[in-house]
Amino acid sequence: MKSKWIIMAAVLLAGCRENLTKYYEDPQNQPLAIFSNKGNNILSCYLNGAPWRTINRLTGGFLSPSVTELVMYKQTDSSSQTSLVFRWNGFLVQQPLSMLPGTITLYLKVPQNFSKDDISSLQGQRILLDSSNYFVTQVNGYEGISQPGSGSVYFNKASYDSTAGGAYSGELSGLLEAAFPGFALTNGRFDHQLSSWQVGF
Amino acid sequence: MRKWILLAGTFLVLPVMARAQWFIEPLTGYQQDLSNHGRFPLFDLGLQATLDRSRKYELIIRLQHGIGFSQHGIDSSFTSNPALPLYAAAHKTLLPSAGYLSFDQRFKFRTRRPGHQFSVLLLLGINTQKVTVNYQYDKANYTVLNPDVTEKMSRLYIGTGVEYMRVLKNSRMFVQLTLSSHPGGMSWVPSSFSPMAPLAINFGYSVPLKRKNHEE
Repeated sequence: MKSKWIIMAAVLLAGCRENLTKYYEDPQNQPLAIFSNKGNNILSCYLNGAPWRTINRLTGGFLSPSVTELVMYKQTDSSSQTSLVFRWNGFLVQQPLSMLPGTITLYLKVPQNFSKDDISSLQGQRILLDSSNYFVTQVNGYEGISQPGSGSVYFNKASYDSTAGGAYSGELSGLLEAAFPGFALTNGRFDHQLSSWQVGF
Repeated sequence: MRKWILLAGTFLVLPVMARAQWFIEPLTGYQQDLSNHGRFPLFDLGLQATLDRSRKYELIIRLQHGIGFSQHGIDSSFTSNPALPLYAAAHKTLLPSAGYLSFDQRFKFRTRRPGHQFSVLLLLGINTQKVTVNYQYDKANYTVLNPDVTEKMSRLYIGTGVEYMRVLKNSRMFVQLTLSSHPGGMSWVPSSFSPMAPLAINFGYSVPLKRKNHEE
């Protein structure tokens, strides 16, 4: 009898995870989320017309780690070129999440000494995709690398304060479009609150 | 929820129907929305059936519709396409409307002057509100930032008010000032507007359907 209660308590504790993603459907582009800059923690877009969105951001539970839809890090390639990498984790909306998880990754060329506080310099910028700025997708059936010059990103909000003490240190929101070999990423919109554990540099 | 309210309303009304004086009261007026700083004025049209059971109390079943006026605004839309201007205005039209099915109570004060009646009203019922949102912009190339979306909700509401009634020979005329809550429960998605909480002034005319036996 006691063990029954212990198991129930453990399940309850493990299940106490807060969903920090807010999804509000865009009636103009169903079932994508609206384009917002209020920290809804979601990216959504069409991949060749099929809706794709990021996973929910969840706080950690008793037995479960926290889960995030976006991570940012810096990467230097063999030619010593440094990229700021945005990796979104998500799934095709019309297919089961467990079967088809995937990522959309954006690489933006930045100076080698680019720091967290330089994220704010992206605000208001529209960046054209070229040989050094590009997307990579790893979504089942939609793997690809964007062609140079066939897409763009707009950062409506981009800020980060590395001295902020709270759970959230920054914001990131904007629009994206890209053409890949054989398919297109259209109507992309993203809106995130940034915390220190998402920004890995 | 609606079934329970209708059921409760039926049980409340049936016992008093047999002995009560019935009045049919068409009403019209104007309401101003307090929760959006007067952004959504509505023109009221309604019909209520009043059951006059005593000198101090009347029960009212009210069906009312609020017809809104279009409100225009501009939101921001953006594009990531560098070949186009970054920003374009998105013209927005909001059309509010409201409906009420309400079981109101009229508590009448004693007055020294015959023919003049002051009352306090308590309102309780279901309020349906809808704000229809339409945008005019280049939908193929631009995306609206933090857009408003069409919202509709039906929830319980409460309210109160005061009323002056002039009792005529075979009918009654009244004017009432009421304040209602916005529909209770969950609020809708973040928007530039919130559910309406109306301050209304309505005018009505009250016609008896049948006379009490002692007055015949």
